[in-house]
Parts: sequence; C-alpha cells; structure tokens
Amino acid sequence: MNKDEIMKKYLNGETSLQEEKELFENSGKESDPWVEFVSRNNQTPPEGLEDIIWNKIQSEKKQKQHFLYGLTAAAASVVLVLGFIFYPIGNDTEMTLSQKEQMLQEALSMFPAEENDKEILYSDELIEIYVATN
Amino acid sequence: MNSTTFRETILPLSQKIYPVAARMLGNRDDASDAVQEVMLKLWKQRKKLSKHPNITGFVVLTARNHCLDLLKKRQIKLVPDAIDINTSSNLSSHSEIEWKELNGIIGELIQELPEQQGEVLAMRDLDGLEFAEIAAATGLKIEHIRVLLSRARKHLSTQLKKIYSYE
Repeated sequence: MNKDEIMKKYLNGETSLQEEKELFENSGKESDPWVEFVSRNNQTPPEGLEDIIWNKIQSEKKQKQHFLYGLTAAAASVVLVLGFIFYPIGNDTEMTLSQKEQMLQEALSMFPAEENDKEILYSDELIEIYVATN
Repeated sequence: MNSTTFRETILPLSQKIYPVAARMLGNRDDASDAVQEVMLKLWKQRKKLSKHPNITGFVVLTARNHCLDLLKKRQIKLVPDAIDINTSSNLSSHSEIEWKELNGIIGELIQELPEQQGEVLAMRDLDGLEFAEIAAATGLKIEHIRVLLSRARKHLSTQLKKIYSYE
C-alpha cells in the first residue's frame, strides 16, 4: 500500500495503530505540521514509573498490615484484661477440710434429735418398722 | 487477582494512561501523580478487576475519570491548548518560535472542533489508544468513533493546508 492510500485510510479513520505509526514515521515533520505536532506532543512516561508505583503499593500494603497487627494486639489486650477482671487467678470456690466438716455438722444438725434414737426393725418396699430405744 | 498478576497485567498499563493524563492535565508531574493515584485505586479494586471483560478499557476509563475529577477541582480547561509541555530547552530560538506558533495554531483548530471530535482525535493520535479503549472510556460505539475521528482529521487537514499553503 503506498503512502497516499494509507493517508486516505488515515483520513477515513480506517487505519490501525501500527499503520498510523508507520505513516507518521515516514512523513517528514517539516512537510506536515500535524505530524510535527503529534511527534512533539508524544508523551513518554518518566523512567521507572512502574517501579515507583509498585513500591508505593507495597508500602501502603505494609502500612495496612501494621495497622491490622496493632488492632489485633489491642483487641487481644482488652480480652486479657477482661479475663483477669471476670475470672480472677486462684480458685476461691474450693473449701478447706475444716469448712467441709463444719458444713457436714450443720447439715446433721438439721435432723431432729429423736430420729437419731430410732432403730429400723424391718424395712421393705412398702413398710418400715422402727423400734424406739428410749 | 493476586499481586503477581496485578504487577504483570495492570501495572504496565501505566505506560498507556500516562499520555492521557499528561495531555489532560498539561503537566508531567501532575500526570505522574495522577497515574500513581489511579494505580492505587485499581490495586484496591483488584478483586473485581480480574472479572472485567475489557480490563485495558476499564483502566483508561478510570484514568480519564480521575483526570476529569482533578480538572473539576482545579477548574482548568479540558482541550489541550496547553500542550507545550514537551518543549525542549535546547531548541534554537527560531525553531522554538515556529513550534510555539504551530502549537498555538493546532491548539486553536482542535478547540474549534466539536467536543467529541476533539476528544476522540486526541485520544487516538496523541494518546495512541485503540478504538476499543476509546469506546470504553467515552461510552461511544467504535463505528461512531471512526466517523468522529475521520471528520476531525479531515477538518484539520483542510485547515492546515489552507494555513500553510499561503506561507
């Protein structure tokens, strides 16, 4: 395809990017003001732009991770403190031997004294025969 | 989408959206900042990105919208009459004057175009975007884009011939 045909296609909006690139490269800047305008305004990104962006993403990622670690640590501390408040160390509910004995004596004292003097003579599923000892 | 896939597929698109940002914002530093912000935005949306049918188009659209937001905040004109950001300092004074003149003439011609024509022309010829990417960014159909582009190119060609044939 010669230059005029490509130019016709270009003006009709039918060229591909590759064809346009070739057309611009083969046209002299001096002879075509549009070519000069496009060539001079061709913006190339600064070197290392992708690396700069990637480093920024990584640093944001780390900041987020640090924030999450901090938040987790704070939550764990709160749980620990609440645990100490509601479940104190050491089991205060367990009784000593003397307390147990005292409780037993208290329970025994609830039965009337006369019942302690009765002796069971006979007992089955239906009846129970007592004998008074005094 | 994991980190590796993002780095391999999305991050290289910063090369593609940089010219769009530079043209729209008219400043290289602002364009770099904008591209970084867009990529961070996309990083946060990376889970949704992998399911998108036209990732490149979506990235271009995100970049364009981000630049439009920045321009709204700054209340700066959209059409690229300020495209002299590539002016090199080692040009001779004569060619520099010629370049400024040319830049001014073409800038005005682009501004004369209907808004959609000017935008499509800039996205194709200055930013080097594919038709599908322009379609994704503008919401126009590819056939309509071709028509707009053709009209814009023909108008510019005619006007430039008129101006420069008298010199």
